[in-house]
Amino acid sequence: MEKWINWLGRDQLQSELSPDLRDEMPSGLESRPAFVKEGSRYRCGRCGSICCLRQAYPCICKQHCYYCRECIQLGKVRACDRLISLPETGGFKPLEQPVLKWKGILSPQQEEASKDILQTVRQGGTRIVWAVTGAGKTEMLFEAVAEGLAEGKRVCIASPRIDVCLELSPRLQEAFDQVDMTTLYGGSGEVYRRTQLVIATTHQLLRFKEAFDVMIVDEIDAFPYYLNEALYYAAKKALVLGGSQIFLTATPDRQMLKAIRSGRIDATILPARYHKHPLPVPEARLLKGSLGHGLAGSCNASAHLLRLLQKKRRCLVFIPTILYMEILLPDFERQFKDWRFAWVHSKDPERKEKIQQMRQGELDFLLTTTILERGVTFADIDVIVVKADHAVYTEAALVQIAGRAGRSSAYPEGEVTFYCEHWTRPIKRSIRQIEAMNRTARKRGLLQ
Amino acid sequence: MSCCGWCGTVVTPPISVSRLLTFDTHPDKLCTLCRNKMIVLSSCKRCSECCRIVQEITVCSDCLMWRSLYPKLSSGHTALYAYNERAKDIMTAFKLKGDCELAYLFSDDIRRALKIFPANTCFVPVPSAEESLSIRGFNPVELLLEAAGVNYDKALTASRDTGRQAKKNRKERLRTRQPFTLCPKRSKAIADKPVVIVDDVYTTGRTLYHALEAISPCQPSSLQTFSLFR
Ligand SMILES: [Zn+2]
Ligand SMILES: [Zn+2]
Ligand SMILES: [Zn+2]
Ligand SMILES: [Zn+2]
Repeated sequence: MEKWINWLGRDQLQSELSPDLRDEMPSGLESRPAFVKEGSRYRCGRCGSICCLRQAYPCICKQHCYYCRECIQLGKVRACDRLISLPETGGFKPLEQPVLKWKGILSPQQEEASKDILQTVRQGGTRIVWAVTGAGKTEMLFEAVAEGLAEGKRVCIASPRIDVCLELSPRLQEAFDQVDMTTLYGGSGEVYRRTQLVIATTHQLLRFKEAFDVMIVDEIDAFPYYLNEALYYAAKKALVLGGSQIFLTATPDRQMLKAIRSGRIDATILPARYHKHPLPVPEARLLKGSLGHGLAGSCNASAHLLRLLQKKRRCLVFIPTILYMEILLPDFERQFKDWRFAWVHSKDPERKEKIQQMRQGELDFLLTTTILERGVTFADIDVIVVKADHAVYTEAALVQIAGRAGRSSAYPEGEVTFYCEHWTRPIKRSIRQIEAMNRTARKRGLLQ
Repeated sequence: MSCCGWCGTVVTPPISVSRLLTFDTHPDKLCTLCRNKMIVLSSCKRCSECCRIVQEITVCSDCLMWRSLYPKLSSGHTALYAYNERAKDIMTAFKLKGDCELAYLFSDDIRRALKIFPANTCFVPVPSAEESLSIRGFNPVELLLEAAGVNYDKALTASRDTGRQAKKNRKERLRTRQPFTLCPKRSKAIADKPVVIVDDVYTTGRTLYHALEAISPCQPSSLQTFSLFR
């Protein structure tokens, strides 16, 4: 049993068990087939996705087997394999009061949200926390996490994005300094160790089964909605029966909005930023002619950028795809040769350095694909979106992009402009959503 | 809607009649961006013998060495793409992670390239070592050929465990001893026919020259080699 202590609440492939574990299989071990047949289809038992391979492939079992492509990054799940799990039993080291070492002050709306979350942690069930960009989400989790940990509950804070996990990790370790904690993400290189508090990417949650009493998922909207099903599956599988789930989002999807409006799901809405200024409302400008044929020719967006730069404003310019960026870059280099700027995209190895340069004011503007749509904040910037009617800009993405402006309390204002050839639903809806949040905040007296 | 078989980016492929007729909606082809990352060897200055990218179009030093070692075997090699970082990433996902479905990424390219050989050509895949076969469960070369719809002849077997090629450095690779044996049952079928030995990646040429040497006793009418990457 000693050997197995680390594997409480884990969901593992039988083929991956180390020989010393295999020698000593404890009682209470649950074993189930890796693939479940549903009618004519197969579902992966680890990630819950339907297998859509065109054929079965030769396998280590000498037969032809299906495998799961969706979670292959965590190791190949073959149809002939089994999944092994051992129920979590708790029994973590008791903690001394106060568990929470954080001494900051919550705003009135954070205070309210914190109470709601605490209630859900006590009672179990699911709660959505819908907080605008810059509302200060992490702090309002602290009280509930502290109580959960003090009661010996196992707590997980997850996000689809590694950046978010890496940013959360030191803040939480500082706030809960006596709690044993690990941060799990693909490529961390660390050997897994069972701890009471876990920070993990949502992908890593697939490696757990009924492990956590409290599951908090930040930025559930970070990926396109069709990936959400997998995220909810992972969160649910890693949660003990009757546990508490808290989902945090700045931009709920349609389905979730419906559930919130109809009251089918408990929700807490934070419509105001921590600094109590309204969110900058984007202005959409319709352009005639294609931007794809060069920015210089259409001149509107670049003229606008030039005007802002001459006013000594610094800007983030969003370009839909890397391909567009490559097309537009020569134009930018010609037109803005007297200005300091850089461009970043998701595959850029120097991405961190460039973001740092922008932060330190060494750049006048930064061209970026959607990778900077969330997470990264710069003080006092304006935002321009080129070709905002492109398909990569969902409603959630546009709300997030607009949320880059006016983040610091010293400079709560910023200008957000969408350049587009057509009005699209995401453009209309994102503007409407931001206006609605400002209205709610004003009505509730949360703005200065 | 269809997605790039490698990076998952949504692409709108040109609608083709054959695609509609076969209801082939599987995401297996590369998007423009990924395709641009692949280096097509036929449009590069390359060694006339092994397709390696070189400054001057001649026979490269490696090929000269192989010629002196195996004067009668040398016969020409065809490779489709350079084995650059992107190609390495794809092969890692395919062979190490075991994502077999990736075999279809290049099925069109391989089918087209192998059509150039005469109709009665025997395509012989390089066999997997016993050890890697038991870890992976599949032979990557055979999968590539199956995905391309090319019939092949398993005329060679890996007789002795030589350890994983990828773990060896260049010198160690060049020094390995003959790991292949001719399957006696198949050798008659091959005699007097053109033979093309197929591998996934051509690195030093050691593996393919071993295969050539092993197959030559059954006297094919011609002997060539093919690899997806060089
Ligand atoms: Zn799976
Ligand atoms: Zn199998
Ligand atoms: Zn791609
Ligand atoms: Zn050569």
